[in-house]
Amino acid sequence: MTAFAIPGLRACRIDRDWFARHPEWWMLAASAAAWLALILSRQAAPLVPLCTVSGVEPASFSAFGPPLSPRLAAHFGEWCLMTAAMMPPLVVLPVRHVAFRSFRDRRHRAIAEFLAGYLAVWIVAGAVLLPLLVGAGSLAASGRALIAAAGYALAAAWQLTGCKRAALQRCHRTVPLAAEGWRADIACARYGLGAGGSCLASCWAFMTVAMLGWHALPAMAFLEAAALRERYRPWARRRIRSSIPLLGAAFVLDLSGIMA
Amino acid sequence: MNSSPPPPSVRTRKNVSTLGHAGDDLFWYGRAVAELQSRPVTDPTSWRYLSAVHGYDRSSDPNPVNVPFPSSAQQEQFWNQCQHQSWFFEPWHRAYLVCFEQIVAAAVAKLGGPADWALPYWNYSAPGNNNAARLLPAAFVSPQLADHSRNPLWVAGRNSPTANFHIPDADVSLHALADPVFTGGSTGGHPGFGGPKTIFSHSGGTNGGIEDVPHNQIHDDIGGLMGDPDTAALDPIFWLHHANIDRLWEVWRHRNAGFVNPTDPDWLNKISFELHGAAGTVLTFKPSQVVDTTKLLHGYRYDDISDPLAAHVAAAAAAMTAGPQPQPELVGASAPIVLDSAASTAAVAFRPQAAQTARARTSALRPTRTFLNLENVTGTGRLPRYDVYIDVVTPAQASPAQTSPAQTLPPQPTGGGPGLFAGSLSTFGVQKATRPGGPHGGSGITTVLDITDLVEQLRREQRWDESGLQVTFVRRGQQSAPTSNLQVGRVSVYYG
Repeated sequence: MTAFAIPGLRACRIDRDWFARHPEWWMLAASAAAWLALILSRQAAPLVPLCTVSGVEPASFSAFGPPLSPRLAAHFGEWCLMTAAMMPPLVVLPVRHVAFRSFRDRRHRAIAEFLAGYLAVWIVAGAVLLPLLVGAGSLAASGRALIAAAGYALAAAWQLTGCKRAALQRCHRTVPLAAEGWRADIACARYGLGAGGSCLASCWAFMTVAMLGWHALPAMAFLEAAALRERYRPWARRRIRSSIPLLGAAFVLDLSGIMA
Repeated sequence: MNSSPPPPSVRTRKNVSTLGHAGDDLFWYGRAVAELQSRPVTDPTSWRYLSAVHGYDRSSDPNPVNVPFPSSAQQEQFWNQCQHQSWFFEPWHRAYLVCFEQIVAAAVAKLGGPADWALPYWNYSAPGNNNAARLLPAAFVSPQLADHSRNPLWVAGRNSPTANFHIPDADVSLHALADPVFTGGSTGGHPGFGGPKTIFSHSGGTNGGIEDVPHNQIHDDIGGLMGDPDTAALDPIFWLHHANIDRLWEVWRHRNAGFVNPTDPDWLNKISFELHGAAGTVLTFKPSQVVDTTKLLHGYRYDDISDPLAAHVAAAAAAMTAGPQPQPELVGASAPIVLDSAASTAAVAFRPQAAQTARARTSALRPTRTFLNLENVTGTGRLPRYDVYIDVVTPAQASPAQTSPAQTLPPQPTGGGPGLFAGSLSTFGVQKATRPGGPHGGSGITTVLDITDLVEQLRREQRWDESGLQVTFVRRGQQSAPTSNLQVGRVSVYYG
């Protein structure tokens, strides 16, 4: 076992073996970087609604036809960043499955292929959800608060359904993977697509309300905590129900941001 | 045997082979079972409720379902709790059993039996040429008692309806006791005596050593209700079987100082098991609270926890696994294989570079061990049993793993037989793990067989060239053609 020290940080010794045992490290590091980017972007230029309260901004009508509004593109980029920040921590277990069921020299490639499929599902979902954001943004603050309340109520109701539980159980699914060659590449990407589909079925409500809240970071943090809690806690529905207080906290934060 | 006598209040669980007389613990067990079976399913001390705590699926319930049931909230909180393919397998079942023991003891006392009743255990692994131990205990065999009344210890549908059914010796092997490491991994290598580290979950992936053999094998051998986790605890033999698995944990822990339970806080105190006691109230247990059986609820111990394996073996095993454990590495894998014939063979071609580097990396820490992984086993219907054999790859099968589909061929071993016996493929829990909407999400179950000694044997016979393995699945006995779609998702080999 070999260890090395980071220059200038005498007390911080990183064990190389730790990285081998945790091949998902770079995925989580990328997720942390995305959170940091979100925080910095908020400080530099807070997001504003796509449409003004007094009237719809003409450029927004180009949302579904080229050329894309730069502001709409910015919101789509924000969605991608939010996805990169929030979703990878939810798939640590399948990513470790992919890594350790692959030959050592292709572990990181297998992870990348899995993530490509997984994140593609969420990015496409974001593109589909953008009209919701456009519609909500065209409303006055009170209207947006109403929409947010409806979104959170829907999310809470979804938490109590059997469909939600079944989707959450599928999130833990593992599959056998081909070991080498293009079959392995396809298998990893396909597993990522499948995991993305299950994750979307389980967490769509969380991500929708996060989007309706204009990616407000405090609310996003609570939503992430709720998603992580139900993912790595017992699957029983009572645990899913217990995430509702976190949803409520996120709603309060969102509401205060909308009305400010 | 234990060296010190138990405190007076601590109960002693006895070997069922020493019981069977009027007024003893087995006699009262039968009477108490009938009492529990008469209680409604809404009662947490009823037979059906207790079984559902282990697992429940309405579609496989053999009892009437058009009766009042516990509320859905109560079912969600207390039913379907059993821990399998997990390092919580042993502690959860211990807590489950001690609550059951308290409930049955209360029923025994109510019926006029002794106040110190204890759950018997079935030691099917009794050493020596002891065929009687491989038989279903006599009290469970007949549908009727001597007075022609119903025998509450008998259930229909078992594979062993007569007293002549002997459990194969391989199914009651105690080789798991030789493993001094409790916690394993689910990454292809050593699965541990107690199972891989997991979250608290009704689902799981990879069997631990003691869970695979003898636990799963006995469930498969008895069959019927015992063959499915959702109905297993409806069979009265279930509790004696698990008492023995619990006893084997005590045997393992007392082998020598190298055999210790996990010290990881995630195992000790992070989660609690919620179960009902005899009064119908909820009792909670952390794993750290169940390790000492004499201090668990009323307290109990076993009449025999002597080591069935030689002591020097324990010392050698403990020495071998001391220090850091190597990270297991994949060296070869097959394509999926459907087990739909009497014998099916999968060719696992090794990637030479991966095998060499993995061997070099692991041997720096300890002698390299070889693990055969039967990954993501799925299937529905009546699942047959298969024995697993390995041999070196014949020239015709030595092709790259990724281009070689698993083959269903008559076995073509180099030695004239199916090869060296590696173990049996258990199907206990496979149907449940196959359901996409079930707790496993359709993943199936993975079994890991340690084939280090077999590879050493091939090496001694100068047949081992590290190019690959031929893995043959041979259907057991005279079982008819399967009506299932049993599939092994991948056969792989890891060094670790």
